[in-house]
Amino acid sequence: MVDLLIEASALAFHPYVLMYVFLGVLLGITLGAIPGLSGDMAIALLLPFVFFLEPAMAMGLLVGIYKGGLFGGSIAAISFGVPGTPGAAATSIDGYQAKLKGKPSKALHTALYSSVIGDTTSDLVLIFIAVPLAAVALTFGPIEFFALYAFSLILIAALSQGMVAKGLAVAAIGILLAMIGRDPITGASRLTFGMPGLSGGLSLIPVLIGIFAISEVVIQGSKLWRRKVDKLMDDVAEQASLLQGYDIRKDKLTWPEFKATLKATYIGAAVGTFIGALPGAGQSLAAFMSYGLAQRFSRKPEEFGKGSLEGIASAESGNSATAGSTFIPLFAFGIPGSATAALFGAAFILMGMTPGPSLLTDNTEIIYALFLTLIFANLVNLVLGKFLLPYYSRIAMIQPGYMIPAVFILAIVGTYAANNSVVDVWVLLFAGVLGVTLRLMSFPLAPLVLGFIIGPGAERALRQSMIMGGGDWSVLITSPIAIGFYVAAFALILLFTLALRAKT
Amino acid sequence: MNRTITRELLSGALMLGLGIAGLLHIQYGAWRPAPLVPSYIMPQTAYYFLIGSALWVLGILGLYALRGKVSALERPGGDAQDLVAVGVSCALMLGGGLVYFWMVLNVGLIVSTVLFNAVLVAVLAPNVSLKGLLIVPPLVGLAVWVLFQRMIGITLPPSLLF
Repeated sequence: MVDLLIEASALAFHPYVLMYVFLGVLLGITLGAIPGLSGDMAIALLLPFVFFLEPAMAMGLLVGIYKGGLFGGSIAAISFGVPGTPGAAATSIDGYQAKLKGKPSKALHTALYSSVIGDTTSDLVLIFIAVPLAAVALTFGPIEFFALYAFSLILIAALSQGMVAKGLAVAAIGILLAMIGRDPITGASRLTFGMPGLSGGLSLIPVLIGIFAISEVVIQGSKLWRRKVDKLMDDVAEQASLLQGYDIRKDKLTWPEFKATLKATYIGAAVGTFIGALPGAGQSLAAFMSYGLAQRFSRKPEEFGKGSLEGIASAESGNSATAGSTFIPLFAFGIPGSATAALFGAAFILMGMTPGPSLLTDNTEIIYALFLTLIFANLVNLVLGKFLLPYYSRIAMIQPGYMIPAVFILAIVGTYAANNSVVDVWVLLFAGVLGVTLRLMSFPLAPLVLGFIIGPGAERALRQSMIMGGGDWSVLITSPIAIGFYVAAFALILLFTLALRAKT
Repeated sequence: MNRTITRELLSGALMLGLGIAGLLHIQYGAWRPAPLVPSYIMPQTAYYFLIGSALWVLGILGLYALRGKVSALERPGGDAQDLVAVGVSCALMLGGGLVYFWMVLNVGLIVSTVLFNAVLVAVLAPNVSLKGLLIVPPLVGLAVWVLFQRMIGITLPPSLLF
């Protein structure tokens, strides 16, 4: 493995790749710091550009955005008490309190360091776990693969904000969207309703951008229209005025203070890495579980919720530690365990690489270069964060009224640019309407995307298994590995349902 | 009627309607026969899941309503959306998006981008200033031109302007 990493280093540390990582981190932090905009949305919007970049550069840009976005969310959470991303919600509990107590710099630096430590831990686990797991996955047949797909779908649906039924329903809708087009076995058109433009199926880019970005932009647009944002902007201005006359020299994070947060950081790193590897569990759950555990093992649990640096460290480390491990199911089995992993999976597909066990063997150099980029992006995050932190909190004051229209236009033109397809633009707008409808009805969106991406693979595995079993459904439970997946799915659902109940 | 009850009822009805319509389509639609495993097996499974999920949602709603604990179905941190504002935003952005792309194909990418951006900023940005309205849309137009026409070189049909 070390040999492969050394070989890939020439690719990973190419000047252009490094430049794209820098650009990505800067963009990710900027967007992550603006409430309502997230790293995921930026990745979705940039997917069309993946076509026009070399794979290593494209990966550098996307990884940079992802890492930057994870940390960027904590800036708004600490500076204004408004989490820039859902994962930063736990950070805002102590972060904002610390800021109100005149310690914004300590809080932001604690968030930065713990985020980088958690993230790096998770990346190392990914590098050393994904390869052996992928080797195991290569021995799987269609029965095991179908069980794995079902396991992932059930788990991600069940863990999506605790809404099992709605999660399963949107996963089913995602599968149905993936079924539009030609049947891979008979070649007949399915679910196209006589529209020839749909016979090739729905493209990934418009569906992903429509569901994630367009629906979010429309919801943000509605808030702007009602001038709800006025209050937020007033709050932001008010909070910014609080910083006037503030002396940063008195607010430096000292070595003993940093050392005192390390235990909480390690707890967050371990919990986040574990949670991130499970399909559907997500950053928010990881951050809150890390926070709860760190409080339990802290020497000063009574300070949690009142501006504790340990609280910030545990939440931010737990949130960021999902970053690397969330790719484990994608690399090992071809199953995106989170919305971010789904977006990266889409990027792999656009670059002609198939997510799954063969990804590592067919594209060894690119993937090992990606591993190195993941680690390097953490370093960039640390350096940029360290030097630009004083300016970052001002990023959150950029008026969404000017940003949202520009993002919307970029989404439309970017979608068209990917395939020069007018149908893709109509699909994008339709996916936007679907995304808004589902958001209004409180449906989680991640299971839909997972269903859309793994739908064709799950169908292939199901039909192959059924053919092997002569049309008998019981063939699906003839493999001990498959049974293991079904049992594990229900055990994990039970475990996390209990954990979520304890959290709320 | 309570907002949560309305939302859950609508969600259940949507899932149930989609599931039943899908099964009817499988029953009466034209599906090419395939040996052993029909080509509708996956959509059919998805429709069963939709119907099952709908019954689950409606069952839970009924249970909580009978116990008088509908508020327990509220999502923590769930933001109650202003439906009128969402409708206006949908019409403006998604309807406007249709018009915008039609203009891109017929009038020209840059002119349409500047105009559409100006309309969106004027309607959406709170406290928009004339200076902002005069500076931001041309900047967005310039960014689109640099990014998509100069760097990527997207192909568009010949249009009236540029």
